[in-house]
Amino acid sequence: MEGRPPEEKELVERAQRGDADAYGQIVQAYQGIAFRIAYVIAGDATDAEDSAQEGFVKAYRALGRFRTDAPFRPWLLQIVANEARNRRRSTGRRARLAVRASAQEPSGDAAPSPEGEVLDAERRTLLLAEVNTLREEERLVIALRYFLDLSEAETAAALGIRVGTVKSRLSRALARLRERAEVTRD
Amino acid sequence: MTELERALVALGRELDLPAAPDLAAAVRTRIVAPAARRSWFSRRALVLTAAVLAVALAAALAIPSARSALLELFGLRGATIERVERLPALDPATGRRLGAPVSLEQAGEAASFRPLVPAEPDVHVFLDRASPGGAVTFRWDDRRLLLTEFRGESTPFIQKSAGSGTRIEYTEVNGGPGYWLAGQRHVVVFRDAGGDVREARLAGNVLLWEQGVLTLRLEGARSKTEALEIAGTLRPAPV
Repeated sequence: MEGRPPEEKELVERAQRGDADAYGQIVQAYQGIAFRIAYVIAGDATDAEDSAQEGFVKAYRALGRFRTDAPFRPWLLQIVANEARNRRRSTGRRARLAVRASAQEPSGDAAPSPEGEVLDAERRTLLLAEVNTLREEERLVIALRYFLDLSEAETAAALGIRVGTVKSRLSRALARLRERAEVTRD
Repeated sequence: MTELERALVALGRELDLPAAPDLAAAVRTRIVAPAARRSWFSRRALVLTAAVLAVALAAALAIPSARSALLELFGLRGATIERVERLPALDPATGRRLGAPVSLEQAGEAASFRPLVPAEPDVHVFLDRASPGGAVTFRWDDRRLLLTEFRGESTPFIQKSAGSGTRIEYTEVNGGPGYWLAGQRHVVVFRDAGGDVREARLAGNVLLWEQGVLTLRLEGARSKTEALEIAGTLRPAPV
């Protein structure tokens, strides 16, 4: 996950004055998370790249309306996510998320993280399979909030819904995942 | 965080997501490119384009319709034409809505402007009150030609998306700036005063231009010459 670029406010202000280099630095800082959000939503790498690129261009052209005292990241991610949602609507596709092949084997050299202890490879695969079968609106809040580590406010902005709706969808989705985990264990 | 939530966060780190491409160069090319295209824009068109750009993009951001990379943007008051890689998908539910059939007198009274009337005697007049300031449409008796007039405000009422198979040609019409769109059919979207889509469909040859306070759109002419001839016959409605 990218850190906040140095003097982001200053970069945004320079970009607002038409400084393409300053905007380039902003793109560098956020293209990773922008692409991943677009991928989760649009379900396809090409569409995700198009959405992210289009989002950055549109955001640049809309910079005049951006207030520099507001956080930039959610504003930008919202524009990218909107592009990705439009592409998904047009194709009806949905991203099938998968676990990296290397992640399915316990890694020998890296120290196990606390989360790694909680979740072994088999359970990871099962859990992901359950997430993939959730209703799309629930799958998306889970993917954005936990997989991509967005805040609730950013998740809300990306999906064009209210924070309260994010909370309720998350709790519904988590409850469903818990239920299914119970069934699997029986 | 519960155990399940921690498990989901951990799972997120193990996901097989495609590597993010480097977008900075492509974005930079696109945001600095308009300067290089200026040579073939007329000055008037350029000023208009600049004026509507912000509004059009603001509207574009708000549109929940499918659209692809925006390659070029042309604009007139109350109308935008964008060149896109792929045409947006059309919702079959939004068919043609000309408004209510009215007499020319009724149209003149209800609209916020004095309509320009074609010389063709057999035209049907429609009034669309949901459009900003009202829109008046003339439909030729044989249904081949449609002429829509509205007061060109800053909010785009008409948005056109054209793929690579559509020619977009700048042309002066009755002394005002305009565009002739021909070739492959393009997508046209009409919006109401609240910005909601009233109508979205494919359209063929179209002449779009500004005349006085009005923006006009003539659809269905066989050629640019025919479209310009018809535009030349327009006269203000009798008071």
